[in-house]
Amino acid sequence: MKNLKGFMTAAAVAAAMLAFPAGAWAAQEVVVGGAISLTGRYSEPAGRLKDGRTLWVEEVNARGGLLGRKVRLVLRDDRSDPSTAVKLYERLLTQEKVDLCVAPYSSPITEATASITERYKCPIVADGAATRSIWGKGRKYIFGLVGPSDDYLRGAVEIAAKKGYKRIAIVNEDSLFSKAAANGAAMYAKKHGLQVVLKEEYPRTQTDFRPLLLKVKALNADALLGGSYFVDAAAITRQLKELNINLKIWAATVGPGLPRFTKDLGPLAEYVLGSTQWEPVPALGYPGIKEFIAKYAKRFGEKPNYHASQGYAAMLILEEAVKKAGKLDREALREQLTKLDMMTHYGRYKVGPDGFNSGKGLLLFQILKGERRLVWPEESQEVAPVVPLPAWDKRPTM
Amino acid sequence: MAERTPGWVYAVYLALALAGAGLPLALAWEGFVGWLAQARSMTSLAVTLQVLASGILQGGLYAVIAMGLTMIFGVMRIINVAHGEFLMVGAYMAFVFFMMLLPEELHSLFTSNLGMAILGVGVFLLICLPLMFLFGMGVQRLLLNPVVGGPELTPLLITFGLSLILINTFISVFSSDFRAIPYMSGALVVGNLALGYPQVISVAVSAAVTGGVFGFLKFSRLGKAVRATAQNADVAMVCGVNVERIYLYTFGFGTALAATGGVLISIQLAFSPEIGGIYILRSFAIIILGGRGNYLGALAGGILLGVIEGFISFFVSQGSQLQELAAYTLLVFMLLVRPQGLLGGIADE
Amino acid sequence: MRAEGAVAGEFILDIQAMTKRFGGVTAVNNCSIRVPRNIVAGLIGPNGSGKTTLFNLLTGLLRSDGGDYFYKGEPMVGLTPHEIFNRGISRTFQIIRVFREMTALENLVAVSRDGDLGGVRRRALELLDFVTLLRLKDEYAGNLSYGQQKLLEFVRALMSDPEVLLLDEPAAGVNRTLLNTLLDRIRQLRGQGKSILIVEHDMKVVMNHCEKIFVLDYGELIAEGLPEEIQRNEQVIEAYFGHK
Repeated sequence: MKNLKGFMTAAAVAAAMLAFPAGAWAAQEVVVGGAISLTGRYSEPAGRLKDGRTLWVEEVNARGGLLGRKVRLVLRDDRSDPSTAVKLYERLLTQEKVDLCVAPYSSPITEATASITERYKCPIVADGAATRSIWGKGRKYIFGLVGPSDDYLRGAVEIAAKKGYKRIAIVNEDSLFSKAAANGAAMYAKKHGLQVVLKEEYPRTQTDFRPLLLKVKALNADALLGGSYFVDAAAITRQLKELNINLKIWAATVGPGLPRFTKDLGPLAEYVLGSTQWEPVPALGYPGIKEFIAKYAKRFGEKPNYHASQGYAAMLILEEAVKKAGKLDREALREQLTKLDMMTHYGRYKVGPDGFNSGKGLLLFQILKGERRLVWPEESQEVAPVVPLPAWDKRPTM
Repeated sequence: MAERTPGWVYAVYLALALAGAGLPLALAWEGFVGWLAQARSMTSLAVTLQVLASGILQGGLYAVIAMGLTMIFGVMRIINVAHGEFLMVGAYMAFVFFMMLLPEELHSLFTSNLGMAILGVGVFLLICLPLMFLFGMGVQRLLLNPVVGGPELTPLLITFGLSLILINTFISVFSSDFRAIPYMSGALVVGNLALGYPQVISVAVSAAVTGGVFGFLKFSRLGKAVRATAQNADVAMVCGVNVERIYLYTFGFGTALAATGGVLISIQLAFSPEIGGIYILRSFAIIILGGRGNYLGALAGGILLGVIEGFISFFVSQGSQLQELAAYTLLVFMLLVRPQGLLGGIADE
Repeated sequence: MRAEGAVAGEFILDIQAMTKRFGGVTAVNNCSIRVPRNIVAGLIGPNGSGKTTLFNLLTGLLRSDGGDYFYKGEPMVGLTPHEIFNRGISRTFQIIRVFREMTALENLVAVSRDGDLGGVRRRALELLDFVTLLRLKDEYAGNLSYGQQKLLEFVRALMSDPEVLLLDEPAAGVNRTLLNTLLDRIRQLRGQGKSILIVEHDMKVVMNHCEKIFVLDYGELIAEGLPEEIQRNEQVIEAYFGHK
């Protein structure tokens, strides 16, 4: 099936090329381009990222554009596939000649495209990648925004440690971010003296987690931590119920933090813990957070989640760098992004020498009555976490 | 082939197949000792039973899918590479029916209780299967009929092209997003055993469909004609069997069986236009395992693969990563050791 | 177009100048044969003389490259095998081709086309009884002896109650007892008004049981006539012993 995938990648790229003739942009516009997973496995979080960016574009054009020029956002669908994304960036940078670049979604895709943006010296603020190793390769044109993947499940481990749950099972998709999140979880578990009874990866195409979950059950795990995205986190949650597996903690990355998780799973989503970079909670106290939540909710009919917030924040940072540089010159831009120190509704942006935004920390929420409520760290806590999770047969029937 | 093989021979083959697939995979990871330690710490009768039961439930689904493939191969000698995509189309038909055509107030119908949920799937299959049967007949008449009986590569390439067309069509209509149907969740709990409702329903439908196929082939005159054609199309032809029509029905049946699998997958797992590949691979492994063109072989092979996969992903460290490898290994192993499959098939004629 | 001579129903099969080529080899060459109604006729010739190819043409398994062929005055060229079968022409094969993985009874039921299943079953059982295979009705065809398979194939060809029966080497490899049963049944069918065309290498069988004989060589009809005429025919003797 490898050839098949290659064929379809080629077909998708060809279709994109036919649809958009090279260099057709109006001269007075600032074209901001990138690939993003509009469809496929990563489309849920990537779609929120896109919404956040869209909101910024509408606003910046309303207030007169960038350097007095209208901004046009060009996002091509990479179908959640790194090799498609690579081809799309190559095309955007060499033939369509976009002025500025935005990042793709997910660590694996960002890792793949970073070599392209690096080669053409186009600075990007990677608002969809949390894996530190991307910044460990001496790259000069990629800037971090979000907290590191290693820390995603830290909160869940600390809650388990505090409650005295000793047996931890960790499962993850076998890709860059999820691996890092799982390794981070294992690292924190060890630090707290907890026993990692299972640490197992599953392929990106997995939809059936039942045998894996039976293993979790047989190992008598207290907590299950998932280095996951949306499709897998949703499937695991459903299948936990299907197999009547009762865990004290079930925490996952990315998936539970998306609005569609609660929408699709309904009552099954209750009590699931999820990692987050940011939540639409004004009490977090960042400048402009309240206004951003209101604007976004008005535009898209739902509260922003952390991906939406990141998409918007990255654009604000890019805007600030352009303003400071006073031109679209990429070297000048890179210099500004390197030394910029800025507070947004999302938190502080200040990269270290490697380009990673090292000051950013992670949060943990729990879905309670259909809402994501912050439960960790304590200083940001909205409510105390409900652990152990109620057994399936102790929950009100649907 | 005509003599009945004694039962113990099958037992030996089974043991060989299990060992052949399981052991190298187990050895490959983290070392045998670690594996044994983990396996021992988990093993109990209840757990083994649960893994076995889950494997059988999964295998029942595999069997229905593989049966369609083996039927098409057995009768027409066509390797239908688009079988996985027919399955995908079935899953999307279920999706369209549940999510777009069925009013939202009626969704609870399928989640309220087991009886209604089974009824719902039954009703849906009644709508979906005739459509897919017609679709299969159309494919046979328009695409395959002109090339059947010719070089084996031609129909293979045609069905390969068809699979690409279907995948890309469905991507452009539904996007490559994963979809799921909010079907009844929860489990039938019997002592320590928990069997998910969707899987129980799936296996019940699989059993009914399998029984139907066996009954049809064994007792109906059309079924006998299908078997006769499978054994020798030329003879069937001069004995008054309208072989062209048999091909038409066979492809229709095979397609409907694939679509049944798709519907049953849609009520338990997420799916995208690209899931066909997962199931076509397993189906190939199953029909090689059971014997090409052998229906009983497809049933046995399906359940066997389901159980093997279950045991591998349960007992072997990083087993989820090795499930697909298991299917490949079995396929190659069987081709080398017993190419006609466990229960014998067309290859030994 | 109607074939002359068929009006009176004199000839059941009227083959006119049929030709079949495989690449450069002409297997059947401009061959014309008229088989009278209600007869046991023999079709003989050296190996590779085109006998089986002719059967394949008559039953529609092969498409002819030229010529016509009429059955009871109806043109048959261009019909599919099952259509030809449904008109009343049935055959057996040189190398046995029973459905090995079906029971004897199923072998017969599978090829039936008409009526209720009960009637079909009854006819199948009658036919099995006809060739002394009734006690083996539930045995897998593949488990039957060679001769029994020949008999099974023979009655399978009778399931549709055909008017013309084409038998491809019915005697080959069959023991005396079963052969006698077979020949006896062929006589009975002749008595019922059927026409039987037999390809056979066993000259004793041909000379003793056929009323008329057609001889093919290199795909051409070189002789036809009564058994004793054929035995004396120089051309036939040369075809069998003369060249090579």
